[in-house]
Amino acid sequence: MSGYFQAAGGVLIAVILVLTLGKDGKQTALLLVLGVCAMVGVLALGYLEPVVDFIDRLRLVGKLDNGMLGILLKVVGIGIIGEITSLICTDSGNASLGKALQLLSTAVILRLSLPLLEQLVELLQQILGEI
Amino acid sequence: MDIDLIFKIAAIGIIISILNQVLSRSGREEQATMTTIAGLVVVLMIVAQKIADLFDLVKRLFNF
Amino acid sequence: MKKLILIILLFCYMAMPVQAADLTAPTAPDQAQDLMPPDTESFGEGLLYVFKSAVEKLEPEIAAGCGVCLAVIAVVILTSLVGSFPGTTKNVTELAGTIAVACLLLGSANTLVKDAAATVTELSEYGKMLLPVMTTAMAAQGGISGSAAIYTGTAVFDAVLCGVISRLLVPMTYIFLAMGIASAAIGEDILKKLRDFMKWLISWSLKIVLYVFTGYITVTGVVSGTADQAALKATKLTISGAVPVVGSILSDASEAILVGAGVVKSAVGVYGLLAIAAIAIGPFLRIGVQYLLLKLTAAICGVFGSKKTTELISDFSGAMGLLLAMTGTVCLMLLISMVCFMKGVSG
Repeated sequence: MSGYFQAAGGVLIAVILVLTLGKDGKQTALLLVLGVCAMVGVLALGYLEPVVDFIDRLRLVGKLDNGMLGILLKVVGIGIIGEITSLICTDSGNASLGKALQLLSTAVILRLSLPLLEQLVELLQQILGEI
Repeated sequence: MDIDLIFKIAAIGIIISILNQVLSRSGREEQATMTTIAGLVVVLMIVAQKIADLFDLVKRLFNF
Repeated sequence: MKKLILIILLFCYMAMPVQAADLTAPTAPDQAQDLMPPDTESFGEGLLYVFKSAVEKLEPEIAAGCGVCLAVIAVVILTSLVGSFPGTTKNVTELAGTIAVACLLLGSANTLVKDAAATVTELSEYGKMLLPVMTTAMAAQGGISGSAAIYTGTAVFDAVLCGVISRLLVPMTYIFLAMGIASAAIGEDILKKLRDFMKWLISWSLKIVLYVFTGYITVTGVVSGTADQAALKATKLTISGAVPVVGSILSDASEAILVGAGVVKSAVGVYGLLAIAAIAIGPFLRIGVQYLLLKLTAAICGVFGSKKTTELISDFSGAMGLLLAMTGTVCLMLLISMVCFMKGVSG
């Protein structure tokens, strides 16, 4: 838990330092924000590791299809990276880049979700056939 | 979390900013630009390492 | 002349209990036969035996249900990780999660819907075999008009209810689930309203049929029972008065025969009740377990999951509730008519 408080403190320090760098150090400020986001992200994913292991345990107990869980994990990973990157782009004044990345993330997620959609459609066809 | 790194990046940024101003005012615009770029490259290399660590962890955790 | 006609009628009347002594309840269907107790004399003990046997067979269903619910919880935990972000990526991630939950739950829901529909058909078929036996037994005891009224009412309402369930309510349950999935995926208010309307319509249809049937049974049971009772008293008085010397003996004998017919009717009735319970209890418990597990899963997922996914899980739980209502209504209708038959002519 000390890691969390360190991260919170680090983020606050970064905010202050970004303001200190001001207009002259805009590029460095952006790189600083990028670096802090990356470090906080690494810390967050470190905390999520046991959660993902727990989800894998639930999958084994619930006999969930490994393919389905794999797809959902990738979707969540793309969602997290896409959203953080898009927000950094918006912060630095490049909202169009952020939106473009969001569009790409959406497209990739929909593409990855296709097997799930196909499985759902197959189930519905089976049910309609029986009715 | 490496708090020292935050201060290092900020310190490099402040130094670059000061050097840029000093060199610009003494008429050495090109040297000012070169210093800024050099500083940014140094910071970028540090930050790129952290971003690479993040993406590696994402790939490992989310089964990419 | 009047006394001669009465004597002839008496002989005809006394002939009927001879047929009643040969009455036996139809054997329970194969699947229900496994749950039937060896001794069907005591209703309470028999019912306990049926319940225990059904619960013993429930273990694999509980394990499978728990597995599905754990998988759903895993999916909801994953998709909740992007819940804090604004923007379109969060919506698309939730969409993927919704589709995954729908795939997980739709398979088991389909199996249970087919199970419920098959149970309703089986109950109806068994009722068609059992009701004529009970009608004959009750008529033998003197409840001629009562038995005819109960049989007619039960047969008609059973046919109507089974037809409505198989042709209308089961497809509407599927439509309800489809609306739930679409509403969770797209989030349009109109789909939510359509989904709620489906649920209301199914519940309302079942309630209406059951209320009308119960009202019919109550009214005809009171009226017919009173008429039969009066007719029996009049006949006994006439017998003891009309036939000299042996009139009172004949009157007592007819009483004994009627009591015998009542015993047979009770024995057939108890077996019939147990058979109905044995047919209905297995699917009822399976659907009930799934209903409870889904309710629990929705409650757990409501803590950290998105509102849409939690509502979808609640919709599947609601569908299980509707299946319980359908099976329960048909079962209850048969049980009510059985009890009316067994109550017979009172006094």
